[in-house]
Amino acid sequence: MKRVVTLILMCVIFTLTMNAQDRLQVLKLFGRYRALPDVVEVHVTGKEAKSVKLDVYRSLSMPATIDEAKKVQQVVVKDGVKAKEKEVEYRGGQLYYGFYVLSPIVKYDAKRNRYLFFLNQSLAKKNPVDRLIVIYMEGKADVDYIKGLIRK
Amino acid sequence: MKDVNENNAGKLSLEELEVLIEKYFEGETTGEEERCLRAELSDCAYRSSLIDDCLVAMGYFSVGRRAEREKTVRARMTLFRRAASAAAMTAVVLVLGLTLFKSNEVLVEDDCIAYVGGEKISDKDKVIAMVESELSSIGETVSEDRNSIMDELSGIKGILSE
Repeated sequence: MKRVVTLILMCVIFTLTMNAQDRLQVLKLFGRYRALPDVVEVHVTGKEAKSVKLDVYRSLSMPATIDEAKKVQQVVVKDGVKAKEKEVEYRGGQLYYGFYVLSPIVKYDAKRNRYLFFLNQSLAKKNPVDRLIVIYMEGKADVDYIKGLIRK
Repeated sequence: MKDVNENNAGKLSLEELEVLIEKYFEGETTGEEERCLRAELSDCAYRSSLIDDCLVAMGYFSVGRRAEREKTVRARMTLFRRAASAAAMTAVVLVLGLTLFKSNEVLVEDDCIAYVGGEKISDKDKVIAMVESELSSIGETVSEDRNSIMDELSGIKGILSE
């Protein structure tokens, strides 16, 4: 009995550790604020996402001045630490722009690249807008394609 | 001593049992009394050397019953442990499954929805239009910002060249 319990505990710890390594905190943001006024959350998968070489497109935009925006920024920065590549710009101690290439994952036997994008438009030098946006993308698209998608 | 012929169902006291056992060893028990003795010994809570001797003397029946009972108890315990292990394993799998399901929010594979201030929008065209607008607004902000940086740099360049 003791052996069985030990084995179960080891399995639990191993699984949780493996899962924790790959889990993005930013994914927990989706769904959390969608009921707030002026918050827009978009979620696209399947055929529509595949048309832009993606499997998952999720975005969250909200006023940059509300309290929740600080939390969002913190979560993005935290996930960004684990990124393989990143382009970030801070303004006045706040994250203005962040583009993170995260480690790919394997889903349904296929490798999926993952990208995280953040922009606080209220910190823009020209025409600032009280808007903050976070985009999470997952799919076979490469970095250049994603950058092109964002800047087109 | 109780009349065992009339009171088979009743439990004998240690004293009564030992009297019966002595009677058995002297070969004076009737068939009914012997059956009663066997029944008593098969489920006997008393311990004494006389009882042990009688158990051995009566042979396989009583000892066998006792061993059989112990075997049954062991088998039940093993079954219980296996059932408990299986239940624990199932619980772990369920908890892990639910945790993973919840944490990653397993997505429906063909979804195109948006929420605006809590209101759900399922119209694909509207959602795609929102995505395009989102991306183009980002593109504008980034490119305007880049232009502003370029303006600053060209301003600095102008000052330096003066």
